[in-house]
Amino acid sequence: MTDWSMILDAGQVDSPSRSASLDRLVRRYWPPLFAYVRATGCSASEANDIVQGFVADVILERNLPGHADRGRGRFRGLLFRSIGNYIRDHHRRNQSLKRRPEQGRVASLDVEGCPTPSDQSTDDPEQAFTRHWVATLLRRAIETVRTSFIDQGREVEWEIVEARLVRPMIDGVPPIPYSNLVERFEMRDVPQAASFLVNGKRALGQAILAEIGETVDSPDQVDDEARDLLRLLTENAP
Amino acid sequence: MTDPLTDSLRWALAIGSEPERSAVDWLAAELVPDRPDAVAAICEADPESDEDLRRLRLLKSGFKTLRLSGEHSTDRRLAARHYAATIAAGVVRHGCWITRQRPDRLLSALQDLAADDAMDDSLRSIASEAIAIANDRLIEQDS
Repeated sequence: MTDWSMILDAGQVDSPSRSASLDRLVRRYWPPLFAYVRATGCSASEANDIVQGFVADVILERNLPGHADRGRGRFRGLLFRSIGNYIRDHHRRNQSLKRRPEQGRVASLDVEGCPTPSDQSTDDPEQAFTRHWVATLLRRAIETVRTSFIDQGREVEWEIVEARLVRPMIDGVPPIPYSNLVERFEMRDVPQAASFLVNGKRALGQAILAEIGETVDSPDQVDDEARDLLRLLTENAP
Repeated sequence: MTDPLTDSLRWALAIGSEPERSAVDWLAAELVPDRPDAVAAICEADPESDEDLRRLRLLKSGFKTLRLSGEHSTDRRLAARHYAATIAAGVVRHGCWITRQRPDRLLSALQDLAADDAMDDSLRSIASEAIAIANDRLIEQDS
C-alpha cells in the first residue's frame, strides 16, 4: 500500500481497513509532527501532548485524511499546514486561559507552562518538520535495502554499506577503514569493498526515490519533491 | 560538515538525473577521494610517480569489479569504459600495461573507448594516445 492509498483509506469512514491505515499513518508521520512542535519551543512532554491532541482532534475527529485531495498538492504540505494551524490555536487557547480572570482576579503574568526554546536543535519548525520527514523516509529506505540485501544472500555487501555509509549517517560514527573490512570479511582487496559500497549507495538512492514516490501523486513529481525537500533542508541551514 | 539527510537526497537526485554517471564517480571518490569525479581521478596525474601508479592500479581494480558486479547494465558498461581508460593512463604516463590481459584485447577495448562519442573527451583522448604509443613500441606487461 502506498502512502497515498493509505491516506485515502484512512479518510474513508466506512472502510474496513480504516483503523489499520490510521494507525499506520500516525506512526509514520509522528516524528516530523513531534519535531515541528518541539521546534516551536515546547518541551518534549508538552510536544507529546500537543501531537496527541492533533491526532485526536484533527486526524481522527476532523478526519484530516478525508480532506486530502491528490489533485491539490502533497500530503506533506497539508500535514505541515494543519499542524501549524493547530499549534497556533493551541497557544491562543492557552493564552486566553491565562488571561481569563480567576476567582475575580487577573492571573499573574508568570511564564509557567509557556514553551521554552528547545535545546535539541536550532531548526525553525518548518525545517524541523522537513528534517524529520526526510529522516523517516531515509530510515524506511535503509530498512528496504537491508532486507533486500539479506534476502539475496548479500550479507557481506550489506555489512560494508552499514559500516561505511549507514552507521556514519545515522549514528555519526566514523566509517570503518576499508582495510579493516577487507580483512574482517576476507575480501580480495579495497576496490572490491568500495564497489560493494557503490552498489549499496545506488540501491539506497533508489529506495529513497521510491519512498518519495509513495508520498506524491505521480512518478513525474518525485524529482520535484526531492528538490523541494533538499531546498527546504539547505536554505537557512546553520 | 556534511549532512546525511541532504547528502542522501543529493545521491537520490543524481541517480534520477544522471543514472549512468553516479556509480563510477562514487567508486572513484571512494578510492581517490581528492579528485572530484572518475574522469579527474584517471586523467589528473599525481605528482609522485609511484603514488600515481598505485592510484591507477586501485582504480583499475575497482572498475574491473564494478564491470562484473555492477547493480545495473549501465553501471557495468560505463565501468568497462573507465577500466579501459585507466589502463590507457598507465600506458601514457608510465609506459606499461597495468594488467595481465592480452595486448590485442586491450587494444580492442581502447579502440572501442576512443570511438565512443558518448564518453568524455579526456578519456577518449587518453585512449587514442595509448593506442598510438602501443602501435609505436612494445609495452611492458604486468608480471
